[in-house]
Amino acid sequence: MGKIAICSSGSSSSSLVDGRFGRCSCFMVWDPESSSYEAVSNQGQDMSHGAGTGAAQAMINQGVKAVITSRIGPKAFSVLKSAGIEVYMGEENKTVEEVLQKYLNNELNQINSPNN
Amino acid sequence: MLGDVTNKVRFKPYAIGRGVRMRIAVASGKGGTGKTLVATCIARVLADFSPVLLDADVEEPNAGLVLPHKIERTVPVSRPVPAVNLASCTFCGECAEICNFNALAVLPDKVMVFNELCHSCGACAYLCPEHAIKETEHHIGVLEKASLLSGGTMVTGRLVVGEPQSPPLIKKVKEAAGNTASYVIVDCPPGTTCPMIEAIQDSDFCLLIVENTPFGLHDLALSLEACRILEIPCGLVINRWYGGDDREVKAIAEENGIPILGRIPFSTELARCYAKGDNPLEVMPEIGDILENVIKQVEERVN
Repeated sequence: MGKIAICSSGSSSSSLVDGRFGRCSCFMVWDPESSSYEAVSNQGQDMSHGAGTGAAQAMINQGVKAVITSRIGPKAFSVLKSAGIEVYMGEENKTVEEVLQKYLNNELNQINSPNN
Repeated sequence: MLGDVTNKVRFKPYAIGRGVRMRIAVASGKGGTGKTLVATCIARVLADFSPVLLDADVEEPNAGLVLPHKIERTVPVSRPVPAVNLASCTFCGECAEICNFNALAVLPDKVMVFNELCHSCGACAYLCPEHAIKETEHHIGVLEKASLLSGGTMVTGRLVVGEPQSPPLIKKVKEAAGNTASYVIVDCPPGTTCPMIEAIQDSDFCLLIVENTPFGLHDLALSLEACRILEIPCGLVINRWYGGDDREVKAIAEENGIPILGRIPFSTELARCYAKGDNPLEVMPEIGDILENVIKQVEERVN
């Protein structure tokens, strides 16, 4: 099992998730080996263009295996898909930890096409 | 030019000084204020001087809809984008790292290039440590060079639908003007973002077409700021003028030290004629006088 990135509105596991992929404030990257999170700030969130591909590149560089988000655009989706990174549909108004638990319980659906 | 069909609609010869070579941008912040009306009417007023009209509103060029013309030549326009040679790429990620627009994504075994995000800066090709990136041409639109039946020429930029970047095409439209015409008139795109900036840049004067509405005034303030930063002298032409003293426009003009050069009265008859593609100078001859006067004032200010 590889690392999981959850789009988050803050840098803690109790932060609420952020529905947007390219423009979320932060990625909470959970490492199953240490069962711990690393907060990776999203450098491109304020870019006028290219936020999605930048965020997707960051996920590749982080070596994540799956991303949990609610809305993802076509360019970012194509980069993640080409890199073999799975994209799961998160739920809004939940905390990062709650969404991760749902993922671990196989309760999240995969996103199969861009939806933003 | 005399005896030309379109010249018969002229009511009098316009007395405008010869020998002045200038580029006048016709812009506005808000859309639909009358840029194309003014730009095309100026082209008609200056017909005897063989003006060059540039339709720089390349996302929806429409000067040709209201100005009779004959297309002489169509030239394709492209801009450079990166092409990666995977045989020499080591997937080091340097290109994606330095790209300011995230136009490249480097995967373990391939590189994805998003042409629509690329701004053609060439940094990736220049800085690739393996020289694995070459620039290739990406088609973005065409230039149409046409002769105006009223006299002069028109260059229209036509952007490919879906291509997000118009400034490189607008630049080509400007280059196509050459440097022999006495008057180059630029029909600019609306707004105050990159396309408008590219269109007004290097102009000797910018005519800002204003309508006295809250949106019109708000966007006027933005366009004045753009002209100020670019150090382009500008003046206002009020369109759809309902009479009155325009104190809202006047206040902004005075505050910025910008002259009001003309007022085009509101007229449903004019709107009707314009929508049909007829010659506005025929229906409303005073537009010719108003714009002649505007050009004279511009000449005084530029010289």
